Amino acid sequence: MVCAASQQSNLAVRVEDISKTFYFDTNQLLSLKHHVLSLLHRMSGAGGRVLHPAGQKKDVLKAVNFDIGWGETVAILGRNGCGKSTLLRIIAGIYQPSKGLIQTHGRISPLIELGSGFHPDFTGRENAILYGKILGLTRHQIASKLDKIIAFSEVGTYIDRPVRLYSSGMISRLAFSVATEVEPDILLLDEVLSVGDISFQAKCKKRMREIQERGTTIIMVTHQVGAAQSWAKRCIYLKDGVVVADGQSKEVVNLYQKDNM
Amino acid sequence: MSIAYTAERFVSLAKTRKSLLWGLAVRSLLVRYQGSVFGFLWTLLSPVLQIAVYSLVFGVVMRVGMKDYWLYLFNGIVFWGIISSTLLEAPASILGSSRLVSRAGLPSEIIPCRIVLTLLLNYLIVLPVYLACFFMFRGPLTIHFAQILFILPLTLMFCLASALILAYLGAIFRDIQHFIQVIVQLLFFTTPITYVAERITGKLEMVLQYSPFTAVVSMNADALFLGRMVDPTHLYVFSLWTLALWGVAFLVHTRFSSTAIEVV
Repeated sequence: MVCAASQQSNLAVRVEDISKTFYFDTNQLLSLKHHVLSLLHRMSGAGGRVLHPAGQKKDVLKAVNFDIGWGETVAILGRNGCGKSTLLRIIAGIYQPSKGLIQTHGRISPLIELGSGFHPDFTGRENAILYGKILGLTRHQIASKLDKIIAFSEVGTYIDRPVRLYSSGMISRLAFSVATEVEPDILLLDEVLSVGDISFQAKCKKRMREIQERGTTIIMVTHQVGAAQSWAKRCIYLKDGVVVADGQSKEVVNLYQKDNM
Repeated sequence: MSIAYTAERFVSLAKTRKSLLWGLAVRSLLVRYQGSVFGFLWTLLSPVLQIAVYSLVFGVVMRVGMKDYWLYLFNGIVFWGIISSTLLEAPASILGSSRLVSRAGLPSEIIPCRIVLTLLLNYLIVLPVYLACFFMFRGPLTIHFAQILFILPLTLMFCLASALILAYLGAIFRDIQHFIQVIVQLLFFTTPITYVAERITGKLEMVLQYSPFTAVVSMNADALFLGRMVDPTHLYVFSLWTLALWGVAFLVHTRFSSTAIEVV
């Protein structure tokens, strides 16, 4: 279940016993035959919601628990496939947990694969407006921020050209500008802090510091210890869907490095 | 997830995401004919060409002897377009917007709503043209035309429920999008779009009179072409189907919406 935390709560995110199971064999999942068989299985009184033979499911997250307070920046550290992106999507409300409770408070801006929602045939301006709306802004709010978004993204006159003419760097820059300009309460980042060239990266860092100072809660998912350490005081080390360590970045990073050497 | 959760989600989305829905609908209306020479004109051109084909096939070759048959077709085909396009577009819709849903965080419920809204806008663009043609070739509009004011909202509710069901199921069971094409073709010929409902007789009549498609298309023909009161039976049949579909839509949303997002 997902629900909004109460106003008086001083937590931005509360993750309570979250588990997530994926059913892997997509051919099985997608075939009608399988579901008909499951249904017959259920009707015959054999029990169980859906028939999933052993080995076809994977518990990506196993009873994950943590709280994140207002204005905290937390890095979730882990190797590929440890469940960190799934966890981020559950916090963003994109995925539903299989078990457990997730509470979030305020507007969430998820940055997962920058510019992935952009339509190639529409201009940068049109895409920016729609992306802003997806992130929860009204038309007027976007209109008032649009100039700043365009200026920050450095796409210049390309803003009124179709996005298919953009370089990948331009797309990332525009998406990053929109997502950070909407002033979210909680910003979720999935390995997206290496946007653009060196000078734009410097701008990104400056923008990120501003967001931190504004009191925005930032949750970032990464496998790079450098990024984790430079942005977050607190790290959560996730291994095979289980929280192995949660604490001071330095200590958690040390443990992570020792573990993965 | 419970049905209460589903209901709550719909209400909160309806309140907060109107502008997003509108933006997506306009975008899909514009993108459909982007890059073509006639562009937006295709919204009108495509039903006109369809009507020309059917007038030729049914009017000339099969000799349907109805007066102003082309106008009857015009009305029927444009109206049927809302229903058939809903059924055809919905099954692949979440799949088609998978990046928006699974990465940018677009609420998946918006997508079926977007389909129906786009089709409504499309219809509202073509409707005045039909009414003008009717006025010019058949005479003044009667009070019966006003019945569209309840037929259309009811049709949209029917379409929205269908779109929700098909969008989620279609994302999980990919066979549906292929299967539905045959179904829509079957529905086109078993629904009084190219002929008048009274022409159906025999055993088929028994089945078709309880079809929601026959009911709604007949109501539309009564209101916007024949200029008479709709058959109350049609209204009951169609309303009941709509209600039942909404029941199914809630169940499907509750059971399948989260799975659908994970598999696209």
